[in-house]
This record gives sequence, C-alpha cells and structure tokens, in this order.
Amino acid sequence: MNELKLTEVKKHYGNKSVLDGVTVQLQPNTIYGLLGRNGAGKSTLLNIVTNRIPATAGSVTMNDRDVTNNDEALQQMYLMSEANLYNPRLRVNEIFKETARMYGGFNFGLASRLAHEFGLNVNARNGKLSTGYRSIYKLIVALCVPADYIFLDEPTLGLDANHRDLFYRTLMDTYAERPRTFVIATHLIEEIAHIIERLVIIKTGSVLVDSSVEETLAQSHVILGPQAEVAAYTAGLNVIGEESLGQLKVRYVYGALDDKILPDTVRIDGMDLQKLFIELTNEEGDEHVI
Amino acid sequence: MQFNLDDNSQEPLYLQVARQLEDAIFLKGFDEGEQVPSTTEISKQFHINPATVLKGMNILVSEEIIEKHRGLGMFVTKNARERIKVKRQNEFYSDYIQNMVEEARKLNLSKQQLLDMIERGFEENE
Amino acid sequence: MSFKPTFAYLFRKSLKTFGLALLWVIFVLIGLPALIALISGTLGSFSLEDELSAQFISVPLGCILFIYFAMNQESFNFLIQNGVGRRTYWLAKSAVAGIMVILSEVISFVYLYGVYMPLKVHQQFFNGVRVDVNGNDVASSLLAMLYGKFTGNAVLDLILTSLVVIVGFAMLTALGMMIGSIMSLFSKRNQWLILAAIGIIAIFLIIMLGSGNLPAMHLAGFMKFVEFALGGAGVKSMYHFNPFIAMLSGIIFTAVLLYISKFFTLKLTAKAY
Repeated sequence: MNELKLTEVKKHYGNKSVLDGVTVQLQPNTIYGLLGRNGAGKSTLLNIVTNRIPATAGSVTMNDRDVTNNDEALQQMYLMSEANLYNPRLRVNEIFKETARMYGGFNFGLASRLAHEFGLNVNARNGKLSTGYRSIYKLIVALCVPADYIFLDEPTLGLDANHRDLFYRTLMDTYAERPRTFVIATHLIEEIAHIIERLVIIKTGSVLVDSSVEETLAQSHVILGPQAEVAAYTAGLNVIGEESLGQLKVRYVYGALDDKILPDTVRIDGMDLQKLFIELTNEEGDEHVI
Repeated sequence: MQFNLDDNSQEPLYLQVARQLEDAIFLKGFDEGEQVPSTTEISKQFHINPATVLKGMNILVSEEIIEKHRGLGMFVTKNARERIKVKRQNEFYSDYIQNMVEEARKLNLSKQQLLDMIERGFEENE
Repeated sequence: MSFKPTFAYLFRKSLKTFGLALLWVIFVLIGLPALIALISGTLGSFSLEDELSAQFISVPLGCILFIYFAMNQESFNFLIQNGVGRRTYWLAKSAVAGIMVILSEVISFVYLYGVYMPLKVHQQFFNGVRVDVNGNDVASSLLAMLYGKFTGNAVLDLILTSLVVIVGFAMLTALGMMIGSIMSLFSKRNQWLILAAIGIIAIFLIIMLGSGNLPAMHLAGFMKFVEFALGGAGVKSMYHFNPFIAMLSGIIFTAVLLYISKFFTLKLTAKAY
C-alpha cells in the first residue's frame, strides 16, 4: 500500500513563514480532517503535497520516494482545490474525458449519476458555472478518479444544505465501495465530525494535533461547576480555555485528568470537535502548549 | 431508524452507535431474525465513518444481539431482546439506582421518602 | 511515467491550435484582401496569384512555432492537476515540438512546390535558375538561395535545404521554449512588464544600429560568427553555403536552448485562472 509521508515541510514567501516544519504520515484508506483557521497553511500544504508548488525545505515522499516530478506518485493523488487549474473554456464533460485519459481510468457511471443527482449541466463550460456548481463538478472528478489519495480543499464551498448532504452520503458510499484516503480541509467541522477517522490540526504553519478522532475526543473534557471547585479540580491540568457565568465556571481540559476525587458539585462532559478546535486554536490559547 | 448522537457525551461515538442500534432492536424497530441495515447504509444515512459503525456493530455481534449471515448481512439473533433485557437489568443498578441515591442525598431526601416516591411511581404507572 | 497520455494531450492541443492559426493566416493574407476588393468593387482586378508569396506559409508557421511553444501555463496547470510532473511535461512537449517542426516544413514544402510554384512560376528558367513571371529568383523563397546548389544535384539540394529549414524551425521553437520557460517564473503582470521592457530596448537598439552608433567591430565580429554558423565561411558566392555546417550549428544551438528550457521548466508552479 502507498505510504505518503511529509517530513519537516517548510514554506517561506520572502521572510514570511507559512509552513514551519510540518511532519505528518498519511495512512492508507483513512478519512482525515485537516483543520486550521484561515491562513493556517492548509491550502499551501496541500499544494506542496501534490507538487503544485515547491517546498522551501523538507520533503514529501510516497513509499520513500520523493514525489517531486514523480508521475508514479502524483498519479496516486488528486487535489480538488478552490483554485481552478482547468481552462475556463473547457466543458465539464470534456474535463471528465481528459481526466480519464490522464489517470488511465474514471468512474463514468458514478460521474453521470452524480451529475444527474446534483443537477449539474455537463455541457456547460466550467468558467461559466456558479461557485456551488464549480465545487460540484470538481467534487465529481475527485470522487471518480482512480487515485489512492484524494485531497478535498473546502469541498462544500457554495453548496446548499441538500447538496452537502448528498455529498457526504456519496462520500461514505464511494469510500465503502473503494476504500482510499481522503483528506478533507474544511471549516464546517460539525458536518464532518463523524465522518473523519483521523485529525490533523494546523496552527500557524505547525501541526498541533495528529491523532485519531476517538483518542483526541477521549482526552477532551468539559469541567463544569462552581468557580472554586472547578479551579481546584483542574489545577495542574492542561486547561485550554474557560468561560464563566455568574458563580458557574466551565474549564476546557485537553489531556489526561488526574485521579483527584471529583466533588459532587462538579460535572465532567465530553467536548465536541468544533469546540475543541475553537479552544485549541484561539489566539488567547497560545500559552497552552500540548 | 433514528439516531440520537450526543457530541457532548463522554461516550465514544462507536458505543453510541451500538446503543442506538440496540435500542432500535429492543423497542422492536427490528424483529428477531430480521436484517438490520448494513454498515454502509448506516454510514451513508447518518454521515458516520464506516469504521466507526463497524466497531459499534461488532460490539453487538460479540454480545450476540446481531449475527453475521455470510454474504447476506447482519441479522437480529433469536434471543436478542431477552439478552438486551438481562444486560440492561444488570446495568440498572449502576445506571439508575446509584445516580438516584446520589441525587436524593444532594436534595436531602431520606431513604423512606425515596422509597415512597418509588411506590408512588409504580402506582401512577399502573 | 505518464509520457504517452501527456504526449497525446499536448499533440492534440497543438494540432488544433496550429490548424486554427493557419486558417487565420490564410484568412488574413487572402480572405481579407479579397474582402476588401469585394467591398471596394475592384474584385475584377483581384488575383489570387498576386496575393501569394513564397514565404506566405513558412514565416507565419515559424512565428506560430515560436509563440505556441513559448506558452506553458495552461498545459502545465492541466497536467499537474492530473498528476503529471514537470519532467514528463518537458519531455512530451519537446517531442510534440519536434513533430510540429517537421510538420511545419512539410506544409511549407507542399505549399511552395505544390501551390506557389505551379501557380506563379510557370517554369521559366534564366541562367539555370528558376524565376517567376517577374523575373525574380524563385530560390529566394527559402534558404535555397544559400544552399540551393551545394551539391549540384537538384533533388539532393532540395532535401538538404529542407533539412536546414527543419533545423532552423527547431532552433526557433527551442528559443521560444526557453524564453517561455523563463517568463513562466514571473507573474502575469511582470511578464507584461518584461515584454514591454524588451520591446523598448529592441527599438532603442534598432535606432542605434540605424545611426551607426554601435561599435562597428563588435557588429562585424557578430556577422562573421553568423556567417560561419550558416556554413558560409570562405564561400565566395550564394547558393554554395555548406548546409551541413548550418545543420550542425543549428543542432548545437537547439540543444543548448532546450537544456536551458528544461532547467526552467522544472521550476514551473501552478497558477490558477
């Protein structure tokens, strides 16, 4: 199976650093969530992985071979991005055909079924489509291409709720049918929270979390109760954020809880992924190193 | 079928999936011997990673609530409801009684008051 | 390596573009004068023969080769989106360029000897040289003026001259590829700025040249070098330049230009529309 590895990937524009040494190993047949705030470097990272732009330093390898100008590796990847690399004059069905030629295969059956379900006019020139339908035709290509690593950068941009639902269903369906790795970069965390198996969070060009969703959430706790008790209970724990409401206090803890006895008045809840993301990537949260 | 998943629960998603399926079987959403939806179907309908769904299903398989019929899918076992009932009876003490006593203490309810309330609950439910 | 589909993609695209460009050339050089004649009511005196010239096809084809193979972004964007690296792109592009160069000379040749000569020359000879009805040297149509009588065998000389043209086209194409690959490193805006700057410098140089202000020595040295490269060193008269020297120097230049273009092509980055 193909192993995709990023080692100390750095990207500088002038003296501005966008990526500051990213090391991640992508596992086969796994759905990833790639999360990060605007400008965290998600798109840049995906552009480097797929060799659209060069890294300033570091390497991306597939099966221990550098992917740079390495067709064999590049053919195992497809990046659906907001940036359009197709000539705007190309018609959607021409793009399907050309993609099939280049990748040596394409699921035309699924493509035409999806085009029908989404109501996409395959005879339209891609440059003339609305943002939503531009996302849709790119999504269809991404789901029908025979590659092992599919990168989806903001896949639901401009899609209405119905179309997003259809996309997630289709994703689950095609993934079950032909398992491969998907890396989904999105801001709609709630919508993919149950879909992704592993999680990579990037903050200002560095990897903050690289773990399974289950493990990550098992370590994320909401401690709720009276001010003093919550403060006492969470003392010495990795508190990543807090909120107060009158005498009540909520503290968000990332990491193991110690075996202190929980006071009757204090409750521990789980944290959802979006809340965890917000607390981990808040600017005030800077001092909390994990 | 309806899934009520709670993202603020400390219970991992795959356990929640198992519990929801178990509930559906216990409340006769699926009869004994009937086929339950496949991993893919559940995954598609509720946007849940198939690996998570499978993990949840496997718990029910190990508890002999559902079983795999090779090439056909998953089916509710013969004595599934009885098994669920026994299991839930065993969990009743830790899930409900302990919590109830704890809450009663916070509210300064005496043992007798609590027992009276239970009595009343049974009468009104008749 | 995805050479085959990449080659096929680039080849199909260039055939389409060349076909369209040629149609445009024919329209501008024949259709437009005819249209003007029609509008001005002088269609009676319009003659197709008058509009044709020997360089009618070869010069536009040279320009198309140069410009078309200088362009990168559209093809590269598409290829990197489809998992094809820069090395394969450069290789496939060079192969397609080679075929288009040969095809261009085939088209010019067919035009020259299949259309132009029969229509215009009426097989007149003067001192053994083919001339057209106006008495102009037909050989001036091509590099034939330089290499037309190198061996004295008409067929062989024709073949040799055509080969020189092919090498010349190849050099022009490789020059386009090199300039294009360097230009691709810059943003669209900067590309225009560079083009404008080059234009201004060129005009300046031409003025200098015209007023004789350029150091004569350098110019003379350069001319001597060109003469040598064309195979004309020590040759007393036209028609007897050495086509083999011209081909050899052309091939060397082409190789150098291609090498430089490869170096910069490997630095291409995707730029969204």
